[in-house]
Amino acid sequence: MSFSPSSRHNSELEEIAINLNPMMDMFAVLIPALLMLSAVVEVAVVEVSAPSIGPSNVEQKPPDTPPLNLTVTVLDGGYMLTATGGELPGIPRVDPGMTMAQIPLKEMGVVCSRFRGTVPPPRSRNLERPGCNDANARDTVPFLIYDIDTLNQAVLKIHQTYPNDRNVIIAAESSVQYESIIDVLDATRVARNADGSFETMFTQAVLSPATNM
Amino acid sequence: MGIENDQHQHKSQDELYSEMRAREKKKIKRLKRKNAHDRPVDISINSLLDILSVILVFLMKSYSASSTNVKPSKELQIPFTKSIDPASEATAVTVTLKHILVDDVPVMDLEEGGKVRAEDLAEESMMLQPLYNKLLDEVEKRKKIMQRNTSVEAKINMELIADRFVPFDLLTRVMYTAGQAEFSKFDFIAIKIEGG
Repeated sequence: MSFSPSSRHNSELEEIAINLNPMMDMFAVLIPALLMLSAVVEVAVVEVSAPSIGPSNVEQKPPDTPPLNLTVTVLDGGYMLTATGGELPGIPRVDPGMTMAQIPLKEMGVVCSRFRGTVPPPRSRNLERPGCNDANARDTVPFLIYDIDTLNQAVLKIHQTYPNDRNVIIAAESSVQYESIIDVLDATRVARNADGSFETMFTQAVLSPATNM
Repeated sequence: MGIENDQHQHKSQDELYSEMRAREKKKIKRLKRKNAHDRPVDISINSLLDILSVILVFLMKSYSASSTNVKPSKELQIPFTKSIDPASEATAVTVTLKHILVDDVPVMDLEEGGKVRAEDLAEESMMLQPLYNKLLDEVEKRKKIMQRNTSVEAKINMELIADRFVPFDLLTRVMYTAGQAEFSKFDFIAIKIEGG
């Protein structure tokens, strides 16, 4: 039986248009909000213990082997490494009461991008030099800087001699700036071996009260 | 009919053909104009939705990366570190050359060059009294939370966010003061750079 054209079943499927307006609204709100809230600066953490002043209230059991008590002192003229519990390989001994930077400052070209508007530390030694600015941000400019690489390698040798000791004391003159302390913490914490692998060294850092030397 | 035949006969085949073509062209133009008003134009937004979905997923992932929100400024230029350890939830103490803040609330003003005012020093010359009072409040809050929620870590942490020019002297005073207020662990915050 044939139907009239109007009664015939229409076999074509009807296209349903999906309403995308709510989805687009969500995108239009969420994306700017997340852009504003997202972290532009990625931060990391360096763990440190507080300086202790005076005798401890807690009775401590004496350790089986004497601790190395490695102390890295940041001076205006460089780094001084001392230890009360052993000899430091490759580091000349400093007489008690004397101050001598065994790793002195070095003259080296520094890429200015990290120091725009200022000079690299120790700033008291570089004040007379032209500073870093937007014009020379990509240039390598010579400054008198802390020899962090030599410190890192020296601490690596000490760690290889005393592999079980993880404590380091960081001391500094009162005027040394926070940036230099972070550099020392980095240099004493991790080093790169000759084969390219990373060696974790002195991870338990303690800050000693400031000294005026 | 006879007259029309005569008219056709006077015109050549080419002329008739070109007339017919002109009529067809007019007809097509008329149809196009009609269809132009009737048919809606579809814009395909598949590509746009693809890009927006990818951007949204990326931003949601980067939003959850760090619990510490640091806003560098002219007064707060944070140094760089090669450390890769992430920040954890802790009381944030921000130290600049002009102010000391606890959880973004100023507690102390400093003199030129980050020097501490004499009236802010406690009887022992290392401790900073206004900072100590504020940190004691924070420790009390933390202890109350630990009493009610045993899963919270017992150690009381402090995050130190300091300007790169802050002198070591001020830094050790802040840490000593926090130690007196029973803070046991200190996390120095710095900007991560490659090479760690």
